[in-house]
Amino acid sequence: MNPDLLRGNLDLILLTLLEQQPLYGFAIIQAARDRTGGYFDFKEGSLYPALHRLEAEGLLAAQHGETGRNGKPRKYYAITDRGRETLNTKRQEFAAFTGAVQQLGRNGA
Amino acid sequence: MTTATHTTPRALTAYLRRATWGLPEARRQELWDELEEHVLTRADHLTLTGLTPTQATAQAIRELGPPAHVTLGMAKVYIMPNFILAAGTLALALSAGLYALAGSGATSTTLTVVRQAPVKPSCVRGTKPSGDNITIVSEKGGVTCYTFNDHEVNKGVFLKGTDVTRALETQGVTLSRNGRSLALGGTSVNARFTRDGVAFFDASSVVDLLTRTRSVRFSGYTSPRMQVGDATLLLNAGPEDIGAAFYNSSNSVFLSALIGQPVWGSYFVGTKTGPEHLISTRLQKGEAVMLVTSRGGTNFMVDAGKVDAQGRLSVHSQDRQLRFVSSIDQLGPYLSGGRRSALLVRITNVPLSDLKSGVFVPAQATSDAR
Repeated sequence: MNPDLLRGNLDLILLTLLEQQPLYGFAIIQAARDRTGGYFDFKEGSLYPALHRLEAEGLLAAQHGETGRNGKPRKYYAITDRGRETLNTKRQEFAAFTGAVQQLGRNGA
Repeated sequence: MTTATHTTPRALTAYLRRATWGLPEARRQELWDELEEHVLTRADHLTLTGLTPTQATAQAIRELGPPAHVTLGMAKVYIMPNFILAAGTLALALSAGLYALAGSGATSTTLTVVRQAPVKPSCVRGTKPSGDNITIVSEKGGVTCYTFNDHEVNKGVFLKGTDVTRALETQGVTLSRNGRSLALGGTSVNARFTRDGVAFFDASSVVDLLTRTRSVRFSGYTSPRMQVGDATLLLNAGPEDIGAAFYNSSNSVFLSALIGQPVWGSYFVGTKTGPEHLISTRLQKGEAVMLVTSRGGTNFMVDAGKVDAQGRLSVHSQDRQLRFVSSIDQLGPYLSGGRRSALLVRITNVPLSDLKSGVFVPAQATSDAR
């Protein structure tokens, strides 16, 4: 897929992935791949800054989970109430945008 | 910086140090732990594909991308907005510099490609060969030596053995004492020819050797790149486009990866003389795509082509009318509605171990040759 699309909608995608359950970084990448048949393939190096940013903005909250491969607790990211509100807003924006693009196509046809 | 009680590979420690550079201490430790956990978990997965722990760690680190990108991304989050540009840029430059100084473990080597093997005569005793396609170069004592007139038979993509071992020494590739064979993991391939005492190998035999035991990924068409573990090989033939020659010569490797078992009966449209198909795709310029049709059993017709700036793929087939399918199981030797079933597989920027993920059906599911 076009990486610009992924970058431009990264927050929406991450919040959607975490909407159902908290996940840690590696599991987020796997979930993104599995749930989209490989369509979303994150660059790992850009994932962590994005997660930290969403956490800093109060949209995600960190919680410690089971011990990871490095002997330390895994850092799980859970969506906050504010994160859910933002997710709803972003979904509406995205739907309005794609609807408008489709309308353009129909009108132009 | 503290680390866990387990042993952290040195390459990983170097990466983590660069990626977390410049962050507030608490954040730095947090990110360090996250990235470390990520790489170790990913490396565990990769070892299941046959990589050694060292190779798996190197691959996992590479997938994370340059540490400077993480540094800059984190600087934007945690450093005051007024300082973002200055601090971020500084962190980026310093991190990149430190990483380069420390050595990331990843290497990139340019291999000079030779396109023409020397024309060496073949000799027979007794019967004197004849025909329009040969030239007799000597006759002596009942022995006749001749060369083929078609110089295409001597064309190829050839690599110097010493260059290959220099680039892939860390991957375990060795050159025999006489310099005439390359070995890896108990398998060896022989040189195609020697020139001035230097042995040259078919690029396809090098690919075959590597793909038997190593995770390999290809990119680029005009000047192909091979990524083998943490080593990247750039094949350089100057301005010449060697994509078709390189990728088509390794068609059995790609077919075997696609089918999941060795395929020996394959052949290809190497001369690019068959009907040309121009197919619209959503792929980026420079991607290599393989067109596969079946001739029954394990006989396949294959051609590798490139995608242009408009996303159009140019490939050749013996069939003028094609219908694209989504799986190799759907290929067959018989026409349906006058069309041959055909498979398109992106072979660049896809791990060879997961080549099936490169299969795609274009929006226009049929093609008529130009």
